[in-house]
Amino acid sequence: MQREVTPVRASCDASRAVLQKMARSWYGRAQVRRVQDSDELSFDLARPDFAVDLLPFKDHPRFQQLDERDLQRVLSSAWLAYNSKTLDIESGIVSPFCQDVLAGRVPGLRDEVSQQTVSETLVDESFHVLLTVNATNLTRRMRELPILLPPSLLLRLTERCLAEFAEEWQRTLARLAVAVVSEVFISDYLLLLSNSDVLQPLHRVAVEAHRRDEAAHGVVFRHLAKVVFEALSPREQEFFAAMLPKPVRWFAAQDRDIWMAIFRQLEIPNTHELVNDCVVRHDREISAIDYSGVVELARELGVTEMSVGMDAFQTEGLVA
Amino acid sequence: MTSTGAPTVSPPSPTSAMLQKFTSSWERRAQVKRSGVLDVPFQPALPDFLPHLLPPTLASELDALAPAERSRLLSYGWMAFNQKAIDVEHHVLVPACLRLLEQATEAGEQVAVEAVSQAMVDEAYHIYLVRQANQRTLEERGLSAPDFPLSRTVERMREHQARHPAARQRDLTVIGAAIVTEVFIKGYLGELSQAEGVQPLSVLTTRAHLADEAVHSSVFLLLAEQVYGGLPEHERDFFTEVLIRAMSWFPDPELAVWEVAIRAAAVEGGERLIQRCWQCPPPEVDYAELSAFLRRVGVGDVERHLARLHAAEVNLPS
Repeated sequence: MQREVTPVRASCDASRAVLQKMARSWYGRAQVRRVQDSDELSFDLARPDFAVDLLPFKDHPRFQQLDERDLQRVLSSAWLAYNSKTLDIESGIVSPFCQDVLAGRVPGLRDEVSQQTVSETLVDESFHVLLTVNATNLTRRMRELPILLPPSLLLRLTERCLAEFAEEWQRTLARLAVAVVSEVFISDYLLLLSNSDVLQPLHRVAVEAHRRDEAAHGVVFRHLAKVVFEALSPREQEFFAAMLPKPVRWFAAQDRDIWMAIFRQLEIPNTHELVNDCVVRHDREISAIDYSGVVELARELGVTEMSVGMDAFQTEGLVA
Repeated sequence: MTSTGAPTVSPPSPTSAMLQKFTSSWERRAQVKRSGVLDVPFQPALPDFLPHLLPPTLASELDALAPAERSRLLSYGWMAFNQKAIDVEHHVLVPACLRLLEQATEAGEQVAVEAVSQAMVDEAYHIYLVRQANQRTLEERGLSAPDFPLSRTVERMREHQARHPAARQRDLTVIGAAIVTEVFIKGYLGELSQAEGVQPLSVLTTRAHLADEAVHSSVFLLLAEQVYGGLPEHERDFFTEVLIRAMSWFPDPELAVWEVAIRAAAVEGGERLIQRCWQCPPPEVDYAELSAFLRRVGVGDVERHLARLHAAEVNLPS
C-alpha cells in the first residue's frame, strides 16, 4: 500500500482518545464476559420465532393465504435467514477485516491502542458468531426445520466486488468500507428484533446481548474509519470514498435467493411471484431505509467534499 | 420433514456425540469467561520466563550475563515465546476456524459448527490475552516493543499454500496446520504453565491459554476426523501430506525471532549470542498423538512418512 505522511488533524487525535477509552473498558463491557447460560428461559413452542411485521411480503395476498402451520414455518425460517445474514456479516466481513488490522495491513491502525481495540472486537465478533450459531441450531432442532440457506446477498455482493480488485490494498479498503457500513447498520437491524415483545424470549435475549456489543462497535468503527482515512494517501482516499456508499444497498437489499430457497424447502407452492414482487418493490424503496448514519460518517470524513465521493453517494441515490 | 427434496436431520455420528460433550461444557470452562489473570500483581524481582525454554545454546550462556541483562533477555524471551502463540492464533487458528465454520455450515454439521464457533471465541481471546500480557510486561519493565518477524511456522504454511494455490488446497492446508498446531501447542505451553519462581503474569496467562488449548486438541482431532471422512480420495492424500508436513512446521525453533529478542535485550556480547543461537540443534518433536490419529483414520505408511520426515529433521523442505 502506498504510504504518504498525512498531517494528523485534531479529529484524528480525538478519535484515538475515544478508541483508547473504549479499549480500556472492554473487559468490563463485553457481553462474552457477562452473558451466562440461563436455565430460566426455555424454548416456547407457542411463540413465533420472528415478527410478521419484519417480513418484506407481509401485505402480499399470497402470504396472507398461508395457513397457521406454514406461517409459523415461514417465521422460523425468516429467523434462520436473519441469523444467517448476521453470521455472514460477523464471520465473512467483520472478522476478516479485524484479521487485516491485526496483520498490520490497515494504514493508521498499527499502533497499540488500535490493535488492542481490534483484538477485543474480534473476540466480540467471534462470540456473536457463537450466539448466532446456538440460536440457529436450537431453532432447527426445536422446530424440526433442517433447511439449508445459501450465503446472504450481502456476502455474495461483497465477495463479487472484492474479486474485481487486483491489489491487496484495494481489497483491504473495500472490506473496511463494507465492515464500517455493516457496523453502522447492524445495531438498528438487531434493534428491530430485540424490541419485539411477541417474539420467542430466548431469541430476544441473544439479540439484545449482541446489540449491546454492537452499540459499542458502532462508535469504535466510526473512529477507526476516521483514523484510517487520515492515514491514507490521496489515491487511497479516493478509492475509499468511491467505495463507502456501495454496501448500503447491498445491506438493505431483499434477498431473492434466500426466500426462494426457503419456500422451495418448505414446499410452499406458488410463491415465485410473491418473492419477485417484494424484491422489485423493495429495491425501489431505498428511501425507506435510514442510511443517515453512513452519510453523516461520510461528511465527518470529508468524503462528500471530494468529487469522487459526492458522485458515488449521488449514484447510489444516498444524497441529492 | 421427510418428504422428497427436503434435507433431513440425521442422527449424530459418534464423532458428533463426542464433540457435543465438549460443546456442552464450554460455558463453564472457557477462559474468556474468567477474570483476573491480567491483573495479577507484577513482581519485578522474578524472571519473566523460564531459562531453559530459551534456545539451548542461549540458555547455556545466561549465567554469564549481568543480572539486569539476564532479566531483560528473559523478558524479551517471554515476548518471543508469546509471539509464536499470537502468530499461530492469528494466521493459522482463526483463519482455520473461519474455513471450518463455512464448511460445517454448508454440510449442516450443527455440532461441529458450535464446536468451531466456541474455539474461535477462545482463539480470538488468546490473541487478546497474550498481546495484553506482552504489553503489560513492556510497561512494567519499561522496555520498548520489539519488532519480531513473522513466525517461521506461519511462513512455512504459507510456502506450502503458495505451492498449492487452488482455494481448496489453501483451505485444507490451513485446516491441517491448525489441527497439528492444536496438538503441539499443549506441549509448547505446558512447562511454563506450571513453572515456579517465574513471574505470575507469565505463568497464569500461559496456564489460562493452556486450559483452553488442552480441550481444543481433542476437539480439533475430532473435527479432523470429520473433515477427513468427508474428503474424496485425492484430497485425502493431499490432506494427509499437509498433516505430516505440518508436524515439522510447528516445532520450528524460530531463530529469527530469537535474534530480534537478543538484539532488543541489548546484552553485552549479543552478536556472539546470536551466532550461538543459530547453532541450536532442531528441537525434539513428539509425533505420537498425530501418528495415532493418522492410523485411526486409516492412513497407511505412517511410519514411512515419519521416518522420511525424521531423516530430514525439521528442515524438511515443505
